[in-house]
Amino acid sequence: MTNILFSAKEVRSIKPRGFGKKAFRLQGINFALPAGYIMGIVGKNGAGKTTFFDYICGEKRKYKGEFLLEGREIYEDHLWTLDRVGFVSEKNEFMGLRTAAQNIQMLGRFYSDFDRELFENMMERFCVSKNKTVGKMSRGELMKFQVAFAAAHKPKLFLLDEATAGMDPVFRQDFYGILRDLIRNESCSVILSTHIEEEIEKQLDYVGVLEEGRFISFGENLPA
Amino acid sequence: MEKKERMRRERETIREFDKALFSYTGQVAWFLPGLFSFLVLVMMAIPVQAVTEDTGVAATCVIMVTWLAYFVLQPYINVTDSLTPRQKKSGTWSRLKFLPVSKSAYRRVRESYLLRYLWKLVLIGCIIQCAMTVLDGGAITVWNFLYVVCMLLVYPFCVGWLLLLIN
Repeated sequence: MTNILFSAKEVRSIKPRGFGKKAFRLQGINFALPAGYIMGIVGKNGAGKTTFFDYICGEKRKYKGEFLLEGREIYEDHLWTLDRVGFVSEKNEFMGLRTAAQNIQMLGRFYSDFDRELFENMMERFCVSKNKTVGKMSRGELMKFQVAFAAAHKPKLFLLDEATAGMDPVFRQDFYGILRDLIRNESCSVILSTHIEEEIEKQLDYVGVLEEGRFISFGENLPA
Repeated sequence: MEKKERMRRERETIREFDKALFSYTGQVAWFLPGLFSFLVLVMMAIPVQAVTEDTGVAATCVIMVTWLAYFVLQPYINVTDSLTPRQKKSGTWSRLKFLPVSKSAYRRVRESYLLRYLWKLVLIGCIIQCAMTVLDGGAITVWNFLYVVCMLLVYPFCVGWLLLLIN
């Protein structure tokens, strides 16, 4: 039997964003992601990819239906959920005048199982100094720092909102290798949004296509 | 019981975080609340009997107390976070909103900081108010105490509560 780690059942927005014909709402989100796989969400700008992540990590429940993580509705105990989710996004803010290591010292304490050594190893692997000031990092470096931060609290689900966009193509290959290492033991999965065609073809196990807030398709990413 | 214990631990973690945060944002953190506390306490030297005859004194005090509440909370709700010379400030909560910490605990801890600060001020304010009333030849009434409590505790706490709500 497949071990479903994260699933969505009939998820739809409670309130549309905007008015009239331009009103945007997420609807018809249905999928089930087994543990140990990478799922990609693809779609044009404004299709609802970031909104999808916001529905999982946001402070308030903005949807009807269910998002289930390990069989539990994520807003039943949202702190429990956030402890098990590694969210990487441009929306994440850190202490810009402090180094990566200092940020970890300040923010890592909120997680139940934060592994500082794992963070340092990941940063070394990403070739980013832990003593670099976060505010001085490039977009790519900041994303690497965030991935290391997310990995260090050993999440069950990684949510990566266009994390690879600022990375150079050579490193992008390595990055997927690192992600595969992280999920190898099948205890976690990854959901990421991307625009990069090569990634969609080669790196993703499942693909969900979002169009105007709807999942128009979801399935295994089979080679053409 | 388990939930209570979890909330207690959560608040403890936030306090530890704040200790580190305070050293980071505390450039003017001591000076401005100190200055406004001093000014407010000077205003408390005017007996309530005289304040009722001159509403301008009360209005000035209200403005000072508003600033006081703002500056006491400032180091905990904003982070100086720009590398440019014109330092930009943004909310502390925006750093924590995707971490496993609840906004209610975050607010409660900050409310407790404000309350702790205001209690001390109320005690000193009461002493000053009573002493000045006696020196002025008046009698100490319940209004002297009520004035100090409302001006230095109830009102600034409401300001702080609102600040935390909108931040």
